[in-house]
Amino acid sequence: MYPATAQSDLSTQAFGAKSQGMGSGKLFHQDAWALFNNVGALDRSTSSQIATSIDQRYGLQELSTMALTGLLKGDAGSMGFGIARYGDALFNQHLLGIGVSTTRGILSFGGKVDWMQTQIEGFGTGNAFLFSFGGVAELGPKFFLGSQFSNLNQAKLSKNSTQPIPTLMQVGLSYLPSKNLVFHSELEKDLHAAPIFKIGLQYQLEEWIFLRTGIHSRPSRLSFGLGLQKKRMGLDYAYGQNSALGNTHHLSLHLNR
Amino acid sequence: MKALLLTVGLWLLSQVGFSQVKEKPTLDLQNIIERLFPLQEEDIDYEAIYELLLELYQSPLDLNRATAEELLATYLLSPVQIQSLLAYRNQQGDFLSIYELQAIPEIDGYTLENLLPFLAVYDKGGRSKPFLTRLKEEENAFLSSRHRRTWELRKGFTPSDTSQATSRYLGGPNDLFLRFRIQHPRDFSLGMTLEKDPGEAFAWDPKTRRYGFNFISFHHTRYSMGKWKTITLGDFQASFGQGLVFGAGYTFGKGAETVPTVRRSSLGLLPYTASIEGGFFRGLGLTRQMKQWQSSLFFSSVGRDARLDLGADSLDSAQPFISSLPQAGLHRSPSELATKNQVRETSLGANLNFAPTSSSWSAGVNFLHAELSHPWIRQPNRYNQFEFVGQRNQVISTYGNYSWKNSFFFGETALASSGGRGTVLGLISSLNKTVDFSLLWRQYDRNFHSFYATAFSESTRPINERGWYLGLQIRPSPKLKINAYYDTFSFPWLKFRTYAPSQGNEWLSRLSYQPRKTLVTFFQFRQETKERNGSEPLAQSPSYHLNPIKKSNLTASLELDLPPSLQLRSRILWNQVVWEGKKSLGWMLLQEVSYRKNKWKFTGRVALFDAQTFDNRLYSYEQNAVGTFAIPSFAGKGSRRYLLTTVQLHPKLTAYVRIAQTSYANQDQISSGLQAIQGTKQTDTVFLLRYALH
Repeated sequence: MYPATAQSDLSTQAFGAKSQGMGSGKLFHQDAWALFNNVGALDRSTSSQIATSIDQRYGLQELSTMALTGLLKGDAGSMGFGIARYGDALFNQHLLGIGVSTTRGILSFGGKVDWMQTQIEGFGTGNAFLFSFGGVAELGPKFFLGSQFSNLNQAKLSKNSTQPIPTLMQVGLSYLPSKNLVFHSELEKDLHAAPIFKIGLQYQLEEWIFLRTGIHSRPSRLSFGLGLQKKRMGLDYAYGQNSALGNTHHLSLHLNR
Repeated sequence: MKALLLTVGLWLLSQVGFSQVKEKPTLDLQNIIERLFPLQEEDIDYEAIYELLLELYQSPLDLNRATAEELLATYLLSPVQIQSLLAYRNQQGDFLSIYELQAIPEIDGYTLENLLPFLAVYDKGGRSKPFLTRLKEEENAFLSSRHRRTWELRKGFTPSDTSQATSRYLGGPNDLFLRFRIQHPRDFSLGMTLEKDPGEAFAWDPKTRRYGFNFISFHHTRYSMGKWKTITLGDFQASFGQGLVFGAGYTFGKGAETVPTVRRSSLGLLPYTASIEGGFFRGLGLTRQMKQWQSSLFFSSVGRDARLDLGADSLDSAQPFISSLPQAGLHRSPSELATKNQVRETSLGANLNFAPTSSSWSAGVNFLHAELSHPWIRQPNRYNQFEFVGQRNQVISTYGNYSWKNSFFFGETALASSGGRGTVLGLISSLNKTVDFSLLWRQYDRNFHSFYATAFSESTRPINERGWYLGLQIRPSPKLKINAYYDTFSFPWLKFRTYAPSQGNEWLSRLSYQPRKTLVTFFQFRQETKERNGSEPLAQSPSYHLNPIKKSNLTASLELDLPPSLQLRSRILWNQVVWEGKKSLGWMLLQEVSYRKNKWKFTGRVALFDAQTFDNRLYSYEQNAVGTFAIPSFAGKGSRRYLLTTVQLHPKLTAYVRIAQTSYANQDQISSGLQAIQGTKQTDTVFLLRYALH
């Protein structure tokens, strides 16, 4: 049996094709998707940004995600707002998140609140609020440490449900051996599941081309990604390979200010 | 470890014929073998790979002529190092000495030290003397004779207890080996190997093609004779492309070296020098160079061991057919002897390679037709439905190489006469000066039949497999090296012990730390998950149910040099197998000491092992007499020790004496069948004499 837990739920998915192309690591991506991935990294983005994405899994509409997010960068910190939808008419989830992040010295940190709605045809609708915190610390010019706790309040799918929404913790290390090369690694622990290890690599081939690859340990998955950045516009694509279930495709677009 | 292997190194250096080369660097063969060899999983005979490595490293490359392809084949240089070497040579002209490589900033001291034995700056000018004079004057000429024996009595050597006389070995327990070899890099190689395995009889019997020794191999190879690049007569191997058609017994792949070994280099036609009785061609091979084109053609006709059957139905026209092709090359009992040389395999092979001068790409075509004298009809079982049957097989392929910036791309795609296809595509790349990366994708159909294929695969043969491999090497400082790979694969059709389509993955990481020249340490962790038939009885489920088997291995190693004469090596091996909810463990601790003084060298090892199940068995490379190679595996509980003594008796004569013993604490019989030994100990000896003819 191949657990699909790692991407079956909006609260645990990785957002943005950049993250998907690098083994679904969440901690270190410095863009508008940080709102969902690791709110602590939100303020490490260099500018305000608006981004949208679509994830298509194993050719099944039922497992697709669509998302839109915005990041506003100010002097004191950054603020993010995002919305995501997962599933089809029979089973779907909506996530609405708002978060803030700031940087003090070597440390960037932040917090967010998500409102998550789960709707199952014939069963009704459940709502929950989730609280999450995260941060990234610069250990040196080549190393970053990151950590995040999501759904710290251990919310359930709805007031009437005993089904808990996963509470996750991630810890990771990022290594930048040179200007054009980035490694991310992280360990993700769900309170009720064995840990997942993720490793991602990004290589900047040209000023505007990024090549990515990554590994996700449980379920065992390999991913590849391509990023293009021209002036303020950027496009990212990721391909996920899972020999048991098939392939996944992820596309996202962003616009910087 | 340098001096520890000095004897081996010295022998290799003398093989190499360094008369034209000013420096005499030493070769650390053990280090190379442990780095490049695939991680041991099966009890396969590694001698062929070992011989090939020797072949590769015995002839140092001409630094001023070497192409990117040839430099890649050393597995010692990263793409960025190769590109900067070539760029330097283009700008500055020929190298005057190999030490001039220090001027290239990408090539650090450690790399240079590893490279020294494999590169040379040769004198210009051709061969002034005639061939026979060169042959007579060649210093690189040796005669070796070896005796090996297991001293405990195996069941096969005991008198037969019933009237059934067939169930005993025909010959004595001695293993004899004789080899003559004379060679000069890029000029010629002439050699002969004779072997008798334990249990085989010395007999002169042309009917079974036994002329004293059971296995006789001979080769005569000439290089660079005008436009003829290679002319080889006798036993040889072929290596072109990525090994989908011509693999030359070359099975590097997943090992401690995670980046360069995924790519195969076209080595061309090579003499076959191992004593494994299969996997080679016997006949005539030619390679001709015409400017940018190179064409090779060979013809081979070789006897193979086969079990012939007449078929159960006597109404058939009673044409004998092959029911199996034993690979072991053992002819000890009457039953084994009955398989000797029963069929003839005739092959016709061709290769055409196009490499435009000073361009970044090359491409070629391979073709192999192989024909057996009898049809091969397999006993049908659950998983061999798509394996080769019949009498003839053809396989054709096309391959290409392309280099761009600091990346080398490679690929080959092949089609067998069954309609089965095989494809390999990959790249190795330097992402920056300290990070190297490799990627390989392969897909082999369940009916992809290629008899000499050794392309990258998880299975022992490239058939019925798909997969992706990612490899990484990071060198944050000259003292520290991190290697890692991840491989994910699936087997779309059934396999041995896996009666349903299955999949798995494997990863490895290794941290090597060398704070100074005399101290080397590493930690290595590897984990593999695969599927295998569940052990519940078939009656309880309508079909075969697969369960995952997860194997984890850990190796920690410390090697310390105490100049001038002492070396220490300590190692811990640990493994764990999880199968159907049960965990089992394996351990091995070993300590090795080497000491050399004047003409003597001693290497001794003691090891303890405890492997709870056969899946927990532990493999450990051991030092042996020159040209003798094995990586034994240990299961059960016990201890292992050996002592290898090397002494230079005379400037021309070297002797190797090795005594090894394994004793088991929890069993009173070793091996099974005719190989069974009653007792708790097994003692093996090797005695080898090596005589230099000049």
